[in-house]
Amino acid sequence: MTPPASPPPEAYALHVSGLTHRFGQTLALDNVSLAVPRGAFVVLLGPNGAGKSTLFALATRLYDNVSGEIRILGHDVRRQPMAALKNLGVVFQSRSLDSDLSLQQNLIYHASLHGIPRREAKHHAARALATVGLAERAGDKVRALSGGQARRVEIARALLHEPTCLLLDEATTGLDVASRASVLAMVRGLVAERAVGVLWATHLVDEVDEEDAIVLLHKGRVLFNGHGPALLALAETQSLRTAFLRLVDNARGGAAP
Amino acid sequence: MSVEVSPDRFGLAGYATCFAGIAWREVLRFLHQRERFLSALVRPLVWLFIFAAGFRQVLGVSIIPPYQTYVLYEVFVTPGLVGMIQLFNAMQTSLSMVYDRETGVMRTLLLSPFPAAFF
Repeated sequence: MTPPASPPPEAYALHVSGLTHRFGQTLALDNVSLAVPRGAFVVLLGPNGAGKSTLFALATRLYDNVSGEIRILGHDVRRQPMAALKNLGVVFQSRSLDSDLSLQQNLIYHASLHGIPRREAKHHAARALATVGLAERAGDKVRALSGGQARRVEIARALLHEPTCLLLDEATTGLDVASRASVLAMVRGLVAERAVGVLWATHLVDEVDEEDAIVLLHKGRVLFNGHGPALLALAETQSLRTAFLRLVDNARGGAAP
Repeated sequence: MSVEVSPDRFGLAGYATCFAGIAWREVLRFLHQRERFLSALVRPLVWLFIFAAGFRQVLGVSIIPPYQTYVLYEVFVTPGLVGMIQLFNAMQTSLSMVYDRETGVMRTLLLSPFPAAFF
């Protein structure tokens, strides 16, 4: 996943280099670089306040990135937003569905924002809902769904326009153990089936497999960028949970005067 | 499954589709909120059928140029009521932007590949 320099940027679903962002005097991201190749599942692991959501907001152009570069399939988000955003699907940490509309209406609305005509959008919506196992609920209002089902609809919506890069910001927030496992398995399945590059942001270590590519973010800085075994070796432990806590604690100690 | 999105989605037809989609959602939300629909109707109807009917003999416009005949009060106020309906509905419709921002739906719009200036 990582060596950000060698292959061309187009090879990466998402390529972030030298990204720094401040909120007033607070440094939210400090020279962050990471890469998500096509067809790869990369975990962005970090405690609360690490800067994960800020990174997502910058990658989705909700904030303008002041220094550094974010490329989606080689397209700079700031200079070529249309080319970049048409390849991007996002699931935000908090709900962003219109609860007054039905599942299908929400998806058709999203499709129209991507220039997909209505007839085609209905077809895409049916297919996306089938992918997440909610085809028979298409006519139901979003407010009638459970938290897990609503998350699935958000994922269906993110997939509707067939993106190559999928960003999920704590997509399992508020879900029970079974729903979390099911959502995670579904996203991992998408990586294998559709060669989508996925950046999965979470603070829950139990969502990470030992073989996953991991970017460990803490207080806006990348503490580790590599695969699970290398993280375990670096922290000299056999448990990802211990490794995570140890590296974060070390960084806190290092930051102390 | 194709990976690349066809480029014609982002031509003129794409802009039209995008605009139609946003307008369609606003209409759906207007129709779904029956209270809002009824309150939009009640205010002008009260003016027209209760106040105007009550004041028709007192507040009409007498026969002075440019009018050739006596103008009833309800005739006199109707253009104003049309303006009032438009004004209040425009305000309520623009409030949906606040609602979108509160609920997070606005982010869907902001993530659209079409230029932000288009919205």
